[in-house]
Amino acid sequence: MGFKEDIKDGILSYEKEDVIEATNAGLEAGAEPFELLEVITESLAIIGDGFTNGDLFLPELIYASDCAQGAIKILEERIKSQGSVMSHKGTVVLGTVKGDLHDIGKSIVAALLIANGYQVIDLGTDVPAEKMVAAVKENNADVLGLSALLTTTAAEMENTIKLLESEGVRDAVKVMVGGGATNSNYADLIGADAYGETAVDSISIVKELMV
Amino acid sequence: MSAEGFTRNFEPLTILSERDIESIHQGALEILKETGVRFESDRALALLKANGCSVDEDLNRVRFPAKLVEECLAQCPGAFKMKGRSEKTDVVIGGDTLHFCPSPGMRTIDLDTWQQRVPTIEDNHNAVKIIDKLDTVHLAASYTPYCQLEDVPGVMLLPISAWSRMKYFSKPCRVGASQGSHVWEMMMADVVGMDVFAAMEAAPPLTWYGDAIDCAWACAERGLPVEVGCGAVMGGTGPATIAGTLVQSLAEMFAAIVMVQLINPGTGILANSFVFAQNMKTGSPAAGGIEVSLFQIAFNQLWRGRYNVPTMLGACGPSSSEIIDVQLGFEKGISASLAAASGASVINIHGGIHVELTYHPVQSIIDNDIAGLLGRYVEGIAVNENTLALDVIKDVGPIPGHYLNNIHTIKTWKKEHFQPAVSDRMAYQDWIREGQNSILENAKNKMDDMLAQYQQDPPLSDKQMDDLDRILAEAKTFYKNKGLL
Repeated sequence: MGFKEDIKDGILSYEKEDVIEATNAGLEAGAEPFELLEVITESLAIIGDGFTNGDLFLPELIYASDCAQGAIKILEERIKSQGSVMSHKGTVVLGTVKGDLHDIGKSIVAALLIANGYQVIDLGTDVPAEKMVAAVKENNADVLGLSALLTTTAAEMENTIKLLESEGVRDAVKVMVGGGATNSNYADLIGADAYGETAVDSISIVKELMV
Repeated sequence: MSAEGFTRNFEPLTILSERDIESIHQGALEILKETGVRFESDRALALLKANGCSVDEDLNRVRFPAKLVEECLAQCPGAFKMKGRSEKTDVVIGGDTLHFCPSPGMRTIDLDTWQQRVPTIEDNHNAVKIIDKLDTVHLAASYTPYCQLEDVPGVMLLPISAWSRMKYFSKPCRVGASQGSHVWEMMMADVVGMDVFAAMEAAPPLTWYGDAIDCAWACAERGLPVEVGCGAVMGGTGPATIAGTLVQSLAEMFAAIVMVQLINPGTGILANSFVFAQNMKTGSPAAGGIEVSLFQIAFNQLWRGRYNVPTMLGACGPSSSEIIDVQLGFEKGISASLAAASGASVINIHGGIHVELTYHPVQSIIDNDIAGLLGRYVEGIAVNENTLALDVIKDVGPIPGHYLNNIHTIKTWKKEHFQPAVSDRMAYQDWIREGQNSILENAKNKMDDMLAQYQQDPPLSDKQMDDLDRILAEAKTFYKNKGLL
């Protein structure tokens, strides 16, 4: 039982190595990966709630989700090796579009979605449309989130959506956009499914898009 | 944040040259020697005469030899401790530490119509409960926060004010000084186990009245600190020039300090300035003026630097604005910032609105943000291996690296970055969605929450509460028998 507490304590006190160590210890002791995943999800929910009600701030939110991600990867591999598939509330591919190096807004969205139980594939910044579409296909993503801060790079969002169409996967994935260069009119114009004004909006948007 | 206050980690702002300081100091000694100061107290006159002062009994005028003044100034400690109702609220005033104190007002104010209203005793209790729970309030003056209460005759104001504070305020309080009120206030403080300090505030120009002297005498005899205050209005009860009012204020305060140190050598002194400029259109004090700040910077430099005596700046809290608005914000903000930068030990800021006429607990909650911000300011910039963050900068590297997902950020940001409680820091979209509240609405909501959650800490026993009521009743009987009620 101790390792479950250790995983939770590690996430809540932002000790990345402790979380990994306790996860490995749990697996070695014969714990089911799914029950450890449940502890991680519960702990992240505490962090997510803390952020939403103002007790915790962005550094804590993002770092706690980083702590959890390391352990989730270990569990994911174990589940795969057992021949099972990891279940999620949904899979979201995120990226800042080509030519744009702004990472923070997109990383906040990633952390919030992870804290709310989604699998997040974060492709980072300066991501070409081809890479976005490939990740959508490979991960069978439910939602693709595109970020752009610069008005000069926002056009890349439209290119990405067009590529989804020409590759025949546009109907299989919902597209949400956000970032300083975007607004709801622009989202409509380029054929996105949703626009988020703030990072926190992404939680309810993804939930609605998944219905 | 706690009663420990905020530690200043850099040299304070100064404004006077060494020559300026010497000219002002020598000027004050010259006034004390040639003009002297009026003391309305036979026992003070006798004490000063017995210690080498020249006393004119017909005019109650005391002239001071420079040597005695210098000796008594040297006896003032650079810092002193006062006990609150529990260890958490004990304070050590002086040294490199900054504390904050509320800024009282005569009346309260309606936040919708901005009309003034005489507060009730219940208003006083509520306002006291709020400052009790504000982290950046560390002590309180007498008549805090209201200097007038509905259906309370003037002579009972200070006893009732103290009775309200002793019940709902856990931090050290000032006592007096009117009609011997310090006697009842000190008895009440003994009931709750709190240290008090005396209000000895000059009546400028160059006069000390009996109430202030009696209050200081009672505290000094018991080894309790004495706040020695100057409150000239520049151009009215003091010269229009800042340097002239500094000279006069020092002369008044030196005279008081000589008396206090003769009563009990080593008594803690808190040098208070509530000097304002004269509003030459209305005749009332002009709060919020930059000349008041210039006076205060020099006051800090003289008392902290030349005499090593802690300072209290009582003129930072009020503004000349009638309402809670931009003028109030910039006048209080600039005045308190310069006071903090120049090394004040205590800044009176919380709750004061128009001159010393109005006070509101909502403003005290807003001022908690100002005080917290200034507290962070005086703590300065820590430069060490951890804060230089060389390893972190190397690790993060250029874009797309960032610091928001770094453990160094989690471990350092809360100490480095001040977080206001009610100032608007929302994203525009969230602000629109949540009702477009300004700091004023945020502070009103906070006040309601704080009052709903208020608990005495530590709680007072039924006996302590009864004893406070009994002492108040005794005060009432006393003043009735004296024909003052």
